[in-house]
Amino acid sequence: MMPSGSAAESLAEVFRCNRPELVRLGAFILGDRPAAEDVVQDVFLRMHQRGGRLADLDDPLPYLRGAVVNGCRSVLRRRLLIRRAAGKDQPCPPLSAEEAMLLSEDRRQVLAALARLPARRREVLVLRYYAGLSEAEIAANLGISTGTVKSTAARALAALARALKESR
Amino acid sequence: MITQDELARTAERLRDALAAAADVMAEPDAAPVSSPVPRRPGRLSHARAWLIPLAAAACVVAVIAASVLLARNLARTSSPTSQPAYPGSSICTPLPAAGPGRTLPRFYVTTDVTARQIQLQVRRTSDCTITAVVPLPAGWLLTGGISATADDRTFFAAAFSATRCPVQAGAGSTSYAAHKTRFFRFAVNDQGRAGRLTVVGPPVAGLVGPIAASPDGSRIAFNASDANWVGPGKACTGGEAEGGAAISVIDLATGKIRTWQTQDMPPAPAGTSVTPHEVSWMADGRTLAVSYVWPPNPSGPQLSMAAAALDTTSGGGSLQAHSHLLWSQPQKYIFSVQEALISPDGKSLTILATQQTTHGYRTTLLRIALPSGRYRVLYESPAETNSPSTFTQDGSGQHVILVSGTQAGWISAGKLSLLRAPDSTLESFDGITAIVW
Repeated sequence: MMPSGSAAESLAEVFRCNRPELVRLGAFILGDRPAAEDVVQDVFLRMHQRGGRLADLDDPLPYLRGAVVNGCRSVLRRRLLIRRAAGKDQPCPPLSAEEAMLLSEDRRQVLAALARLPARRREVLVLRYYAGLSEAEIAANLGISTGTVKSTAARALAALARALKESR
Repeated sequence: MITQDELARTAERLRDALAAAADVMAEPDAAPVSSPVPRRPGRLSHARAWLIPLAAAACVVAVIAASVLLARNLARTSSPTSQPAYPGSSICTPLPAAGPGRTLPRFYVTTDVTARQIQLQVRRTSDCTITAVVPLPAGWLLTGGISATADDRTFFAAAFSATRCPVQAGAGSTSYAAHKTRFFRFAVNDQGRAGRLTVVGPPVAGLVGPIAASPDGSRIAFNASDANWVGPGKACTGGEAEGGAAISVIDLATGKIRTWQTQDMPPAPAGTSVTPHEVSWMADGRTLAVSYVWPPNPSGPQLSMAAAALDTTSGGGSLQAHSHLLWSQPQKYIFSVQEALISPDGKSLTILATQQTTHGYRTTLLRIALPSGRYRVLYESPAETNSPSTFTQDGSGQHVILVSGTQAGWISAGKLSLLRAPDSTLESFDGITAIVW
């Protein structure tokens, strides 16, 4: 089902307003911006095919965020398979070399340490410290309990702190 | 063992690093939402290659049939066709045809500064439709405006990173020491699609005033001393950047910056401090016109303006030593000159001036022949309340867009052909060109 004219226009507006933030979220989770762009594009294409009813939501961002996180997980699962099968997986960094140059060494180290964390831990940290979601919201986004979010976040932060300490 | 303090510090560092990375992450061209193109797995077998012309013919027939059906339905219902991803404009006067040997600019760029992120919108001159939206990275505020190369295919913006207007350091002054301006560039193809936004050139301390890309896009000239800037939804107060009044040129290939100080510029009386305004390039890519103002007398409210031609192959230093006077505002001029840009051939200056009448202020665009100083009026607005105005010219110098208040349009045969766009994209900011082609 294709969206009607006004629904398509609203969907385009939602796309235009939220795409940059969603791409960044995906890029931080995947450590790979082109892949994040694909995920976000897929999410909107699916919405477009379903009639663009997303625009009816007062705030579509939580829904879109959840869809992007799910899309990122699919990418990570595919990558795992590729890695197991052929040992080939070369994700692009979320920042170009030029963009990375704009960041201080300390910030680059933090991002590199984040990128080395397991996917689940990275997801929780990005949703918590980039998207600014509460534990309950992260739980709803990831489909896990609040307790799991709490423990995962604590372990992830400790692992990040250790990695940064070792890199000094 | 990781302590609670270390965890808290790590959380803070992570939050900071993610926010900073998001700020510098250039936003690639946002492709419009469209139906996916189905891809067939594998290659078409050789044996069925003969089906291709048949299938193509069938497709043509189907498209014609669908068009006829669609046209009939439209005639019956008068409903709009599928919406473009970026809405266009319902009012857009076509740009008048260019004379022989002249080409019309195909695209122009406006800025939407009320969006959470400042957006640069590429529009087609034929119908004003937005063909691409290029957001600046989140948290980057526009300073120095935008500029285009002579072929209107490459665009530049000057911006600095901040989440809000910088805090006033003291009464009447603002500290820019902590801020750096970066230059951003993106290209537009023949269809108006925008390429990737990239950071070019080295950072510049403080905030910059009006910028001008050289005709070939290899250099950027900017006014280093007249900094206004635009944050989400508002223009922040301007002031003088560190280093005093100066004009600088960045060579993007080498990253080298050359600077010319603007003290003691004729015909301002010796010892008078002049303030540089706009910069514009001649077609040779070497001569830069620099306009500057000074108070005619210490207590007078009116400013006088002049323009000088700077040889940018000189190594920097004094603007006076490396330039010659092009034009200066006659003493008894009835106009108050606001802006001046040189034509690519160096034979004329286009100036924007205001004139006080009994019915209010009138905005006038004048073309001044060089070196005679004779002028002709390109456009004169009705007398109205004073509203900030600015203008921009294309690579040929022949086509001019005037922005007055929240209205913009191109000038032709003494008339302003209005362009419709959201008010926020056309608002004129003192010293910041919000529209270019």
